[in-house]
Amino acid sequence: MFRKTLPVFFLVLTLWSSCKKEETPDHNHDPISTSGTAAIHVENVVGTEALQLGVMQYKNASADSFQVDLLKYYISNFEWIRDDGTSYKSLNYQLINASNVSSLDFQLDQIPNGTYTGLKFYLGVDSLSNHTLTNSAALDASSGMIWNWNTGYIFFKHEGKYVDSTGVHQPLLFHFGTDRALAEVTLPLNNLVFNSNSRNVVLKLDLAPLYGSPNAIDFNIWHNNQSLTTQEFPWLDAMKQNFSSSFSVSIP
Amino acid sequence: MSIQVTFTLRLLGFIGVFLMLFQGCAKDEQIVSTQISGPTPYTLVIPPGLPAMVIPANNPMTVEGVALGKKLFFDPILSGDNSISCGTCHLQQFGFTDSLRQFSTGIDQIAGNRNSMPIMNLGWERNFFWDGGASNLESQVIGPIENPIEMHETLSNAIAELNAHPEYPQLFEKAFGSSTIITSNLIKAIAQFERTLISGNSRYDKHAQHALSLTDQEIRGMNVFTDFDKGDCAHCHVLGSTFTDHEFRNNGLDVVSEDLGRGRITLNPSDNGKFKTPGLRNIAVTGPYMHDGRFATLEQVIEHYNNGIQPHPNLDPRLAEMPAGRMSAQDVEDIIAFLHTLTDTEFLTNPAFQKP
Repeated sequence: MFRKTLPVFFLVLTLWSSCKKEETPDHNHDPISTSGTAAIHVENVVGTEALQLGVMQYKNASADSFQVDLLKYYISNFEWIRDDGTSYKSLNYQLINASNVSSLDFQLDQIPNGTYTGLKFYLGVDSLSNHTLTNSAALDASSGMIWNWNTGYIFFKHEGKYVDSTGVHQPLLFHFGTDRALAEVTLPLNNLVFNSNSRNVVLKLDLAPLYGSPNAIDFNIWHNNQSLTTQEFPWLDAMKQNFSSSFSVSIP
Repeated sequence: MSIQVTFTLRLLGFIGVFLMLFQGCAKDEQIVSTQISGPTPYTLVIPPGLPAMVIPANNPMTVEGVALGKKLFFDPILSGDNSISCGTCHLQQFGFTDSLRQFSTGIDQIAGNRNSMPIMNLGWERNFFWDGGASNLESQVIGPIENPIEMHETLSNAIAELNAHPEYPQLFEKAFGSSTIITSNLIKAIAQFERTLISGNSRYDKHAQHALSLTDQEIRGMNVFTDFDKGDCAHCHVLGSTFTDHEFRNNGLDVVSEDLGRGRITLNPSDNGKFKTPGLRNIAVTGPYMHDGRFATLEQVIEHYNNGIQPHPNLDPRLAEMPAGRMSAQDVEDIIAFLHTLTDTEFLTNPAFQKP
């Protein structure tokens, strides 16, 4: 008898438990947390100085003086890399705006507990999201970071001035983007441990290497570049390469 | 009581418990579905001559969304000085083009360099604008709003004005479940309305469905339209359905293209001077013609294809091999008579497409 009813009992139990699961889909936090949170703070700097907007006080590697009136860019799709080569991806888009302090801090959560030795992310927006403007949040099309006649996001915007070779102040306008320009950035982490806690992470973009290393961005040659013609490819490719060496990460 | 009977009773008991559990589960699902009372699904009616329309999964059509999109389409709130709407340059009686204007003027009275495109059967298009620069209908909406020579408005301003409006927050709530208006819902609503602008009930369609007979001249014109050695229009403007192959082609307007067209988007020199093959429905009322509206009449258009093809490096190979003067004066008259059978009076006067 017991032998015959046991399977039915388990069948009912299975149905009951599967039903229960559907009833409470949001009731899934474990009693013991197995993941941590990265509280990321972004700093925009030029060499050793914190970036100040609207002042003509910086020099690029070509010794052109420049100022920044507007600096906005997307960083996205963070990937936390472990020692053994495995990784965890935090799918996320973040719009950094130098004139908006609240854009400089954001959190990435549910990073599995463990020791991490690398952080990878992108300057820009991946091709899956780059060809439609129906995205929301950081990718909302009203952020002033789109091309509306050729669907796509402007990954990086620097608007300001530079002093040309004759000493005259000239407008400087860089609108960097398109799939070709998506720049991968990989940074080493010195054994960053997540243990169900929140860790502060400081991410720095330095405009000195951005306009100098490995490729010198001479403002007398390049000062009005908007990515959407083939003539822009040399500038686009040079900038893309520079982005990979312009970010750094530190754990305070 | 035999063992057999006992077992049967127990089994029935288990089945009873099983049913109760199953019902309990099903009942909850019902409650959930009534709690989330969303907008009403909109059923698109597709005329017999057109294929099924693929609606993007992230923007299902709803009655509330379409109504909101229509209101927005005709509302000047989306322009910089609140003086013009989408409907200002896209007029229903002209197949949603801008009357007889070669170039429309924006809020600053500056003329563009391309002819206002018809808005019809866009649910079957793959990309938008004459050069296909917008990769979906929703994304297209933003172009004219922000273009300095068109509606000249920033999206952030437009969104702020909509959020401060006495009616719109509630209408967005009904259509998209949130009264906080965001760009994606603005462009989704307008795209939903535009997908309802379907033309497929012309005299040609009725003829194709054997509901009426075209005149002898119109039939002759249809034959010239499809004849490889005469019009061969159907090579690109496929006969029936949307009357377009949805490709980009250079049709020999100029030896040198000032406007790079598709090449501006793909950055591929072999696309320079190529423009979208437009559909031909309601073509008799959508003039002037070509991406730059250079031809005022259909006679001029046919004359171009008959005698005026210019040797552009990217000229469509089919047009390159067709001899000039292959169509007689009678052929031209007939083909124009046929093109008039594509006029869909119901579409051009449908009150559902008019300003609410």
